[in-house]
Amino acid sequence: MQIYVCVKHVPDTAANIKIVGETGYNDSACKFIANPYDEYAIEAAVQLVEKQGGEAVAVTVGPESAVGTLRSAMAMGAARGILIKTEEQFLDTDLTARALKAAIEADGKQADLILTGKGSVDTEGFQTMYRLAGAMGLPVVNEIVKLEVGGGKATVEREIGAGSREVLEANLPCVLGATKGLNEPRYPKFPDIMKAKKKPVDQKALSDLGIDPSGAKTKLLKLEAVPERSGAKMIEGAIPDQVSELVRILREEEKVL
Amino acid sequence: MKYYLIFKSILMLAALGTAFTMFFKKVRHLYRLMKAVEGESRFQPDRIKERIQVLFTDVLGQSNVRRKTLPGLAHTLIFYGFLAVQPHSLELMVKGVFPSFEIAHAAPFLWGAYLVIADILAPLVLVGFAYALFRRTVMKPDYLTIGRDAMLIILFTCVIIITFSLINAFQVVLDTEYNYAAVFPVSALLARWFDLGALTQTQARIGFELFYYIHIGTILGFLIYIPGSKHLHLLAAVPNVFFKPLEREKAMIKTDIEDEAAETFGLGKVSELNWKNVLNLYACTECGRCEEQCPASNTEKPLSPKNVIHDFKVDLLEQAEPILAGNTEAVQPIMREGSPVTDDVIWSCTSCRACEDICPVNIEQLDFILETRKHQVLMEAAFPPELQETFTNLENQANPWGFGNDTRADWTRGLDVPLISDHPEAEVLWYVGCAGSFDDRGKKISRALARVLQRAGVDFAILGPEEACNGDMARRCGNEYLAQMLIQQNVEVLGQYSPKKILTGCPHCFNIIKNEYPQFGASYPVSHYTEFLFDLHKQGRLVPTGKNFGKLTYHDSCYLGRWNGIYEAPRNLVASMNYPGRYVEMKRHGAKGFCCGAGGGRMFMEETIGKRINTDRAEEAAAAGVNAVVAACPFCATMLSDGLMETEAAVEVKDIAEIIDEATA
Repeated sequence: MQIYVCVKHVPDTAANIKIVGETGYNDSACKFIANPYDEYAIEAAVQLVEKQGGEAVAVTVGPESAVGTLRSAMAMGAARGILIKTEEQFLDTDLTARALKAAIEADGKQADLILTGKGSVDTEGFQTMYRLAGAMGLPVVNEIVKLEVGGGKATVEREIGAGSREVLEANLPCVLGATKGLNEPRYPKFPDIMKAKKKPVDQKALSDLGIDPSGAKTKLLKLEAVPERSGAKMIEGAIPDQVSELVRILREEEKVL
Repeated sequence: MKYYLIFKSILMLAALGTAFTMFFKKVRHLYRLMKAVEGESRFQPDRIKERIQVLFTDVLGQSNVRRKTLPGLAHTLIFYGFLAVQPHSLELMVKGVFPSFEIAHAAPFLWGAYLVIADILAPLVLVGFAYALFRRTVMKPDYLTIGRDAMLIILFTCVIIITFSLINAFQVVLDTEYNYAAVFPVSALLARWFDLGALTQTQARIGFELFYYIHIGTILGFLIYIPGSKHLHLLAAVPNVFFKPLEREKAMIKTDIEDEAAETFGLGKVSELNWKNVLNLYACTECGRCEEQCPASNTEKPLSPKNVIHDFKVDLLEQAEPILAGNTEAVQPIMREGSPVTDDVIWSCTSCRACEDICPVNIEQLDFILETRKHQVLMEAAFPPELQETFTNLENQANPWGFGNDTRADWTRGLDVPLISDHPEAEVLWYVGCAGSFDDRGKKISRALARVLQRAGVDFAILGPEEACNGDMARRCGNEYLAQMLIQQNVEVLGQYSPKKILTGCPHCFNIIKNEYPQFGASYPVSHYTEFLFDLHKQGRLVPTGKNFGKLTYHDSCYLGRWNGIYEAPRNLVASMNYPGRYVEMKRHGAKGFCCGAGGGRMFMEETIGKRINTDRAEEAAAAGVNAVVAACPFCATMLSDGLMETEAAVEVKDIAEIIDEATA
C-alpha cells in the first residue's frame, strides 16, 4: 500500500507564544511538535504497512524547521518525508490542500490512502482533509476511530455522539482524518529515532509545485492573546443578597446582561 | 597395614584427583563465563591499598554481615570455624596419599597452636548452624530463601565439622609420638566423654579411618557442589568485596548513545552483562537482607532484589553455552516469555538503594534493574504506558507535567528572586528543579526556601526558563536518550554562567548534578539546601526565634541519605529549629529509612500492585505520634501528604525549608 500521511508542524499547546504587532508573533522560545492528531494518522499508516506491506510517506507543508516533525513521523515508522517549504507558519487551508495534492501527485506513485489528523491544534481550521479530498476528487471521512483496509475499500467507524458510532465504507484511494481512539501512537524506539535521522526528506518550494502563495483565499487580520484567567470571586452573604450581587456584577462589571 | 596404606594412598589420590579436577573445571567454566560476557565495565581496580584494608574489615572483620546482630554472629562463628578446619583437613588429605607427611615436623609449635585454635573453633560452627537452622525452621522470615540448597549446605558443613572433631577425638587416643591430647582440648574432652580411651588401638584406628573417609568424602562432595550452588558465595564473595565501590555516591552508567556501531543499548541479554555484574551474581548467597529492606518487596510487589540477582544468575548459567561459544546471537533476551524478570518486577523499583546499602557483599542490584529498564525503553519502547505522556512532556517542555517551560520562574511572583541572566555574578545558583517550580506543594517549599535564603543574606539567583529538568526521572526510567538531551541542555546553560556554587532544593537534582553531570563535563560544587542551611545556621545567620513545632520526626530522602550519605544535617536542622519541641525517630530511619515510593520515576507511574508504599510510610509516621513529619524533598512531601490523607492521624507534612522559614520568621 502506498500511504501518504499529512502531518503538521505545530507549537506545543503548553507553549507561550508572544504576539508581536497585529499579526506577528515570536515563537523563538516555543517548542514545535508533530500535531498530536496527526500522530494517530502516522500510527495507523505504519500499522497498515507493517501488516500489508508498502510504504508510508509523511508529507508536511511548513517552514524549514518542520523537518523536525517529519523526523518524528519517520522515527515512528514512515519511510521518508516530503517537505513543502513555506515562509510562514500560517498558510491558508486551500493553499495547504493544493500543495499537499501537488506534492503527492509529484511523488509519482499512485496513492492508495491519504491519512491526516482530524485537525491541527494551532489554527484549528479542520478543513485540510476535506479540501484535499475535494481537490483530488476522493471520498473523505474525518474523525475516524476505527480503520480496516482490504479489498480495495476502507471500512471506518466514527463517533456520532451519545456513544453511537457510524460505520462507513469508502473506496480506495480516499482521505481519512484520524482522531483519539483510533490507536495509541507508539513511542519510538531509540534505534528508530537514529535511523529516522538518515531517512530521505524531499524538500520542495511552493513554486516548485506551481503554487502561488499570493493566491490565498483567506487572510490573517489579527492575532490576539488569550486573556489571562482571573481568579474566582466568592460571593458571600444570604442567598437573596448573593443573587442580587451576582446580577449586579454581571450587569455593571462584566456588562454581559 | 602396609597394604591398607597403599590402598588408601591410591584411593585418596583418585578421589582427590577426581574431586579437585571437577571443582577446577566448574570454577574454570564460571571464570570463563565471567570473561566471556560482552558488557563493558568502567570499573577500574584502583586504590589497591584501601581494597586490601577492606578485606580486613569486611571479610576478616565480618563488619557488613554483623550489621544484623545474631545472624551476623552466627555467620562469624561459621566463617572462622570453617576457615580454621581447612588447613588440618588439607593436611589429612595429603596424609591420605603420603602417610609420612606431617606438617608438624616443620614447625611443631606453630602447627600445634593452630590445631588448638581449630579444635576450639570447629564446634562453634555448629552453634552458628544451630541458629541458622532455627531461623530456617522456626523463625522463617519471608526474605530468607529456605530450600534444598540451603539445607544441603548446612548438612554438608555440619558433617564436615562433626567428623573433624571426631577424627581429632580418635586421634587423641591413638598411640603416636605426638601428644595430640595437648592440641585438641575440645576433642580430648569428646574422647573422654565417649570413653574412647577404652577402645583397643585397632578399634580406635577403625573409628579414625571411618570418620576420616566421611570427613574427606563430604569435603570433596561439597567442593564439587559449591560452584553450582548459591554457596558459590564462598569463592566469589571475597573478590566481589575486594572490587566493591569504595564510594557511597554512584552514577548511573552513561550509555554512549551516539555510538553508531552499537547494536543494542542497556541490558537486554545476559551476554551483555559485564564481568563485575557476573561477579555480583556469583557472590550472592540469597541471605535476603535486600528483600527485607526493599520497599517494593515490603508492599507485596513482585520485585525482590534478591530474586532479581538469583534470576539473572540462573539465566546466565542456563545460557552459558552460546555465550562461551561467542554465539551471542543465540542468547535469548532476559525478559522473554516466561522469564521471572517481568515488567512488574523491573518497574516496581524506586531506586531507593536500600538493597545495595544493606548487601553484606556489596552487590549492586540497581545496575541490573536500571540497565534492563534502559534496554526496554530504548530498544523495545516497552514501559508503563502512563510514562509516555511524562516522556513527551519532558521532551517538549522540559518538565514532567508539561507546563510551559517559560513559566518556570512564575512561582517567584512577589518575591524578589533574580534570574541568573540578570544577576550572573550571584554567589549561589539555585537550581530550583521541576517540582519546586511547577508543583503546587513544591512551589510553597520553594517560596519558603527563597525567604530563608533572603533572610540569611545569601546572594543567589535562579535559572528560570533556562532551566530544564535535571534528567533524573528520565534516566532512572531507562530513557537515556531523553535524559542525555535534558542533561546536555542544562550542561550548556550552566557552562554559560559557570556558577561558583549550585544549590538545589530537591535531592534528585542534587544527586544527578553532583554525581552524574561530571560524566558530561560539568563539575560544579553543589549542595543540597539542608547542608547549606545547616552551615548558615552554624554561622549564626539563621537564628530560630524559639517556635515550638511540638514533636517532629524526619523522613530520610533516599537520594540524600543512601545515595549521598546526608543523614545528620537535616536532623540537626530540624532539632535546632524546633528548640523547645521534641525530635523522635521513626523505626525505619537513616540508612534503613523507608522510601516514600516516588523515586526511580515511580512518582509518575501508577501503583496498582499491593499496598501503596507511601501509605506504608505514612502509617509509620502516624504511629510515631508526631505533630509533623519533616521531609527534605518535594516528592517525599507529596507522597507523605497523600499517604497521610488516608490515615485518621492529624500529622502535618512539612519541608525543612518551611520549618526554618517559620522558625526564623
